[in-house]
Parts: sequence; structure tokens; C-alpha cells
Amino acid sequence: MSRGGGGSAGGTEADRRARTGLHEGVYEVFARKRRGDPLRHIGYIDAPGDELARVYAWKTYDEENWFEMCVVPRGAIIPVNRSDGPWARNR
Amino acid sequence: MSKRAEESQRAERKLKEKIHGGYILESPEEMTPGYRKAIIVQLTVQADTELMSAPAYWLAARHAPSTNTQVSAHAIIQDELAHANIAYRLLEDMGVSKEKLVYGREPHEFKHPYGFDQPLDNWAELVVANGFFDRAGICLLSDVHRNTSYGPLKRALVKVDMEETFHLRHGEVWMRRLARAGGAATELLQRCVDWMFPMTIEWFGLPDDLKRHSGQLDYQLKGLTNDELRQVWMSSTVPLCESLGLSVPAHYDEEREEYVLDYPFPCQYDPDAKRWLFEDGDITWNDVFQRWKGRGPMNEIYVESVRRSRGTVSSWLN
Repeated sequence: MSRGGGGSAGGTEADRRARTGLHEGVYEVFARKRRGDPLRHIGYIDAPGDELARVYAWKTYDEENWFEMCVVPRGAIIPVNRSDGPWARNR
Repeated sequence: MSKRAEESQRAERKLKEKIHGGYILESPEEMTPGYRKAIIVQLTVQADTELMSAPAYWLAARHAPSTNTQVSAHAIIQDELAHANIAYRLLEDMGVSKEKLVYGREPHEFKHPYGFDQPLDNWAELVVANGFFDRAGICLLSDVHRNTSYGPLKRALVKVDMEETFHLRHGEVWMRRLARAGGAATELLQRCVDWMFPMTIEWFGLPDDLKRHSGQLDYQLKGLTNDELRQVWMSSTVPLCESLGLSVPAHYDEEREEYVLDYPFPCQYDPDAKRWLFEDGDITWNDVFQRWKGRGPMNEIYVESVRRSRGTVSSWLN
């Protein structure tokens, strides 16, 4: 399963496995440096769930004193106009 | 040539032309097989190097002389692990399994340079590693950052370059402190320079006149050749060492307008004595590849130290 976000619910065996063990899904990391700045895609991390994704993102992308940072499970990003790239695999 | 081979050659040529016109690839789907192969090699070396620097620095960080220096040494290790993670993630988006790369290979199959198979036995060796090895990292990666035709990598390197510059500064500041101290500190520092200077010179690989054809320049995955990168590294390292009163086996040749080495290159290395055998004269690059292939004394220890508990913890959780 490439879909990020072990935290999202699912009832299949694969989903259960994805939420346990060392399986990790992909999260995209967005941040802005200052008030008034645009939120920018700054990278990605692998994490087994939303809570650890927050920790890993904050600890990994510590090169700036970010005003705001958030993570989005890759699987939640719905591409609008492109049919290639990692996000397009969600369609 | 079969029709199929002709077509694929045409596709490779077309992509190279587009790239030389400034085209930036944004997804693995846009890659030709040739491009994909070249960038996978490049990113695997990058990721493995960052990953293996972590245990090398981690074991050396035990020699940090204060809590403050413990913090800065571990901050560097943390950065290196994050950089490795980011490079493996880029590979994963190309369909290469990070799981297999990190946990499925034999220690000797990792692609990091021979320098990160060596033990760093004291604080001076750690800070010279920051000053020399991390500077080599900056030379290589800032060139990739400026020139790469792969958009996701270009963006990922913003963070990496910023942090590697901090590692280099850490190395330089501490080299200066040890050099000023004189006595045993300066002697130790000179011994570090003696083995780590040629180690870094060798790291940049085959000289251009022997270099087999590489896709990395054709696909604009980097901009400078091995020899050019070696010159860039020496152009900051040699003046730094000279200003600290340290001797290095290289000097600037006014006539040739470049740095030249004052020792037979390449030459053999004795890892146990941490000494280059200048007196035995030069060897062939095949001899160097043999030595690299055999890996250095810490290879297995470093690889195992970043993955020893994987199996146990995994079995608790599943």
C-alpha cells in the first residue's frame, strides 16, 4: 500500500498490517517561514501514522524556524491537471 | 541495430537535447531508461554516503569534550540521517525499495566512499572529517543542486546544502581552535590531515582522462567533472590548512593555474596504520577499485549499527 497515513481507518487485512509493524506511509510536508509567506511544499517523510508523521516532519525539516508546518498523507492529495508523478498514482 | 534499439536511442537523444535546452523533469514517468539508471546510481551513492556518515560520526561523538560539543556533534548526525532519508524517499518514488536498499544488502554492497569505512578515533578526527568530508559533500551536492535536471532533487537539496554548510563551519572552527592550541593538539590535527586529505582527494574518483563515459553529465545530473570538483575542494581546503600552519601534500601551481598534488596519485593506503604509502609510488585505478571493493575496517560495524534492532522490534509489532 503506497497510500500515506496509517492513521486513516480501513478494515482489510492489508490495512491492519499497514497500521502495525514498521510499515510506513508517505506524508508530504508543507511549511511557511513567516507570517504572510505562502505555504510551500518542502519535502516528505515516511511514517507509520499521523502522530509520528508530525514528529518526524518537525525533527527532519528543522533547517528553519518555521512559522507553520503541516503534513498531508500522500494519498489525500488529488491531482487536478497532471497524469504523472507520485500524486497521480492516487487516481 | 534493431528497430527497437534505434527507437530507444532516439528517445534518449531527444531527452538529452530537451534537458540541454533547460527542461526540468518533474516525475519518474518522464525518465528514459538511461536517465533512470543514471539518477538511481547517483542517488544511491548520495543516500548511502549520508547514511554511513552517521555511524562514523556517532561513534566519534563519544569523544566530544563538553555537553555543548555533544549537542553539535549529534545535531550533525541527525542532519545526515535526515538527508539519507530524503534521498532514499526520492529513490522510492522511482520504484526502488528503500527497505531493500537499507536492510536487504550486504554491508560491502553499499555505495558510500571508502573514507566512511574508516574509524574516527578522537575529537580531532571528527572535526577534520567535518572540515574535509563534509566539504567534499558540499562540493558535490551544491554542484548537483545548481545543475540537476530533476526538479524534486533540486528542491530537496536546498535543505541539505544549508545544513552541510553548518557541518563545515563546525569543522573549520574546531580545526582553528586545535591549530591555535599548539603542542599535542596541533600534532594530532596534522596527523588527521595526513590521512584524511588524500582520502578525500581519492573520494572524487577517476581522473577525467580515464573516466568511462557517464550519463550523469549527459543528462545534466551534475555540472562539473571529477577533476573539476577535486580542484574546487582543494581551492578552499589547501588555503584553509595553510592559514592554520598545517602542511598538505598539494600546492597551487601558478603556471598551470591549478592545484597539483605533491604525492603519487593514486597510491596505496594502510588502514590499520592510517597511513598512505607515498614511498611505494603510484598504483593503478584498478588497484584502488580493488581496495574500495574490499571495503574498510569499519564497514560491517557501521552498517550493522544502523540496522541491528530492525528485526527484533519488527517482530514485537507484527
